Amino acid sequence: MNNFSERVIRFRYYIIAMVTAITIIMAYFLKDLEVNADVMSYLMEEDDSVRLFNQIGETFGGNEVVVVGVEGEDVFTSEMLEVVRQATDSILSVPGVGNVTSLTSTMDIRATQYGIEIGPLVDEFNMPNSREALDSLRSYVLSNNALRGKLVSEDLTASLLISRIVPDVNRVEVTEAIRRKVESIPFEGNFFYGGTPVTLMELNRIIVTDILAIGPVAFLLICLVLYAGFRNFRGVFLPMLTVIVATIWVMGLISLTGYKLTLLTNAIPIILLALGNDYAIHVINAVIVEQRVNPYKAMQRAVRYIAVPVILASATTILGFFSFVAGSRLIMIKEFAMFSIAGILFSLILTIVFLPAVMVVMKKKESSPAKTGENIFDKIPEWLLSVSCNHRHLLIISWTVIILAGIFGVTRITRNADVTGYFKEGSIITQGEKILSEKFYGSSPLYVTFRGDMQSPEVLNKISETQDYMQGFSYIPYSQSAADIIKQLNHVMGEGRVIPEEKEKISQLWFLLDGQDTMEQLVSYDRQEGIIHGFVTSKKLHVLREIESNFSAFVEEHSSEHCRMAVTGVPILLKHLDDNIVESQVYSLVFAIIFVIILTSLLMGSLKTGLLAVIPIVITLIALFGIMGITGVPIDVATVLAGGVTIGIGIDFSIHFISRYSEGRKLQLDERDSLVRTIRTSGKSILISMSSIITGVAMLVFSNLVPLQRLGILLAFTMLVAGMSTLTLMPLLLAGRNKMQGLLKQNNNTKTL
Amino acid sequence: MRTAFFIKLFTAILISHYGNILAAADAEGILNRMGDVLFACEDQKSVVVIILADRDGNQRRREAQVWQKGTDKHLFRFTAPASEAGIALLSLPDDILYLYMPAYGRERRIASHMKSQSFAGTDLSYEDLEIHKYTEDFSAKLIETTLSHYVLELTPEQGVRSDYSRIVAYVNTDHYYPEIMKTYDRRGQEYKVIEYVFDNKDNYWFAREIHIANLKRDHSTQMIFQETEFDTGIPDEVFSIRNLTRN
Repeated sequence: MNNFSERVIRFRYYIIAMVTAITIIMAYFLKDLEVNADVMSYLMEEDDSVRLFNQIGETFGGNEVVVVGVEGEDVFTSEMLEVVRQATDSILSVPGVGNVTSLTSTMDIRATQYGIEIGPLVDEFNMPNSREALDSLRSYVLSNNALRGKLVSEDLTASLLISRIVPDVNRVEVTEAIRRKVESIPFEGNFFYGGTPVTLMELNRIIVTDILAIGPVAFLLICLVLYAGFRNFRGVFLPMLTVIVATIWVMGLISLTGYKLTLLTNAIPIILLALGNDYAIHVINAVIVEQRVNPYKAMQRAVRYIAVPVILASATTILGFFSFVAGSRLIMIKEFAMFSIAGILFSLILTIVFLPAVMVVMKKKESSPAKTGENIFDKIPEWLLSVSCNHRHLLIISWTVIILAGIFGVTRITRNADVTGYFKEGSIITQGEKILSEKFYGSSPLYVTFRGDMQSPEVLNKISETQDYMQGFSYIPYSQSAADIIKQLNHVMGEGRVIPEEKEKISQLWFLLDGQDTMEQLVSYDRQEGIIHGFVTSKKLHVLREIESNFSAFVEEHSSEHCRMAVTGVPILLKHLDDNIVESQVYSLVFAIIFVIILTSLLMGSLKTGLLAVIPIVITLIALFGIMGITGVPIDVATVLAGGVTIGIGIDFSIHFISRYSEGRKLQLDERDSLVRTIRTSGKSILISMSSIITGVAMLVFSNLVPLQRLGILLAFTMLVAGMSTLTLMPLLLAGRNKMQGLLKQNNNTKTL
Repeated sequence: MRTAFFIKLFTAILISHYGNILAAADAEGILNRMGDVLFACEDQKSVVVIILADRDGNQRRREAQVWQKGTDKHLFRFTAPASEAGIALLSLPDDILYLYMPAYGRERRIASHMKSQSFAGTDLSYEDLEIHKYTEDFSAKLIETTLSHYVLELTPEQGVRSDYSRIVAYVNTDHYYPEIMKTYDRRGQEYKVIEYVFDNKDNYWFAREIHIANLKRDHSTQMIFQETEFDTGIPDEVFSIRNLTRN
């Protein structure tokens, strides 16, 4: 390390030039950074349900549906029907919209006095205006299961327009265009929105606004914390400089490697803001401490001493994040972890190479020495040490109570994979979902696919049986399939609402339906594949479980040589998302703890020390899951990260504490003196670092995404617990009970340490 | 009245090269002249092969025999594929359309407000079949004259019900048959591109092939007319319900 610190100082100008050059290059790539808010990309593509879901999108003209709702006093007035007609027309004019199903465009089959009618329900060239015509339409819709609750709410106050987005277009842009067009229609009532593309649109908007709004606020607040800690310009400027550079590098890397900003990678700048500072704070504090002892070659000594714990701390943090790469099956979490690791590595390199180089250059130019007066960050650790010494029993009881409360909370923990729950109350997503679930059949599609001859009575009857089974579940009030339409046509041909027994009849009915948009959504072009589109009203976990287990068993039991069946859809994908979240949580925690114990034991040269180091973290994890259980914060795609990130960051506190303590012991200081020295140096760093991390992650509370808000609050909580448990428990664990006694008496005599 | 556009096209008579004495004619004159070309024969019959293709290139093939008399009587009887053989559509004056499905053994009348619906799975709608209405219900504007084409813009007259906001027709300057028709939907977006290959037989110009690209559905239809005969004296009895239901 001697040679390393000498070289850093000797080549400081080259280092600064190189970092500047890389930063300019990476900043250039930022312009290409794109956002991908696609929630389905959480799941691995090798998941059969995901594959089938995507395939349905390709075969049946898109699985992506934008739902636009028109809500007023009565749908069956000429004014509201005109709004529906105008909105249908406007949406159809948006490039990328394949078709729109609405009252003025939906296919209707009926027998009339003139014969068979197959065409739009409402003739848009001859809109019903008279009371009689409107009442007649109302009665017809109310008597038709395919329309009531699907296109018109049960209370007749709202109507839906269901648009399918064609494949290979930018769904977010198409959805934004749809919304602009619809909102420009003069209407005294209310428009509402639903469907995955709308969720993506909102996520995209929030990801961009979050990063632009929260970043600067977090930056300013952390600056204040740093100033409070160091009381000089360098103490603020240098950590923030390394963080900004690391953030530019990692964001540039995301763009350069062709990845996109997601709901989770969106949080990386905040994480880096918190973490990068942590490393820089320890380095700067070490330099200040060494300068107090002896200004000569203080930088070299500080770098020599601090490099190892900083490398060790970042290695453990990397392991914390690596636990997600190894333990998670969710692509988005893996990406988040990979780029967080890259960001941590960048922060580490910048902290031990770039930061000392800049400090040396600045030292020459800045004559004013660092203020050396004590502040709150000096006093609190010493106060905590006195608490540890004087109120040992109270301390142990307090932590025991926290642990017991945590264990109680763990038993009450819940999960949530419902993406619509990610939005705050009042957002267009929550508003739309509320109306859709209260007045309609919901916007959550369940698909059962059938591979076989769609003109065969056997296959169509199987579809019909499956629909009957589906509608036996109260939360699947409505489903749609080609079998419905064939039965309706057979009915208007005068042979009853049944599937014809002769294949010839079915073939000839198909002839009539050929070219209808609705048919293309239900049957493949070669008529060898068909789907049932069921509408599920609930996204509760027990419903998702029931759907998966019941329908998986049903399709397995009813598949035959001539008709192979499979099931997928949003409820199934949400269930898999939930399974993966739980799996990610369990494996990532197990991996993280094992990795950290192994690494700290190896680097500290003792398994006992490795185990000691993880004690505060284990307590913090119990507190984390306990508080989640007690307050009802569920494990979701963002909060699942809290455990691993807590281990990764929180273990740093233990490592810095133990390193400094061990160094003191190596310097022949006794246990008590080592402890006091540790509290005054590493204790202060831990406190500043904890405060800046809490300040940074707490900024996530201003996010417009509920899971990120929760993640921010949880991380702030765990950092507080990790910091406090390290500062209060580590003295007890390291020095032992007997050594602690009388420590306080000597405390005042060790100022020079 | 329902008139199959392609039937009109392939029954189009040969307009003499001397027709181009109308070179200086106005747009309405060109449109009327096109009508004269398309509806020149008394009757005609032919076999049509219809090939439908989706965006992935998957194809469906149908064949039908077609009889036509005047501008408003047509009978289509499908012969292939076997599962659709015998299905027949009879179009009579005053928007009357009957369908016969042999498996059900009886005819059904089809209601009239289906003009924008697909005809037999093709990319032609019932409105497209009524090409003679362009001369009646659309106003024409000559927007360009090239060496080979009169380019007409057709827009529906006030109060006329149409799926199209406008149609741009490229009319052959020598023989006055349309070679390309580009249709635009009511929102002004390009909707279908219809291309014709005309041929001459017995002094009548007729569409030997029609290719329709539906830009919205990303779907196409190719219609190939074979064994076309003109003025064979098709009796009115052919266009009766009794004949329709004769399997």
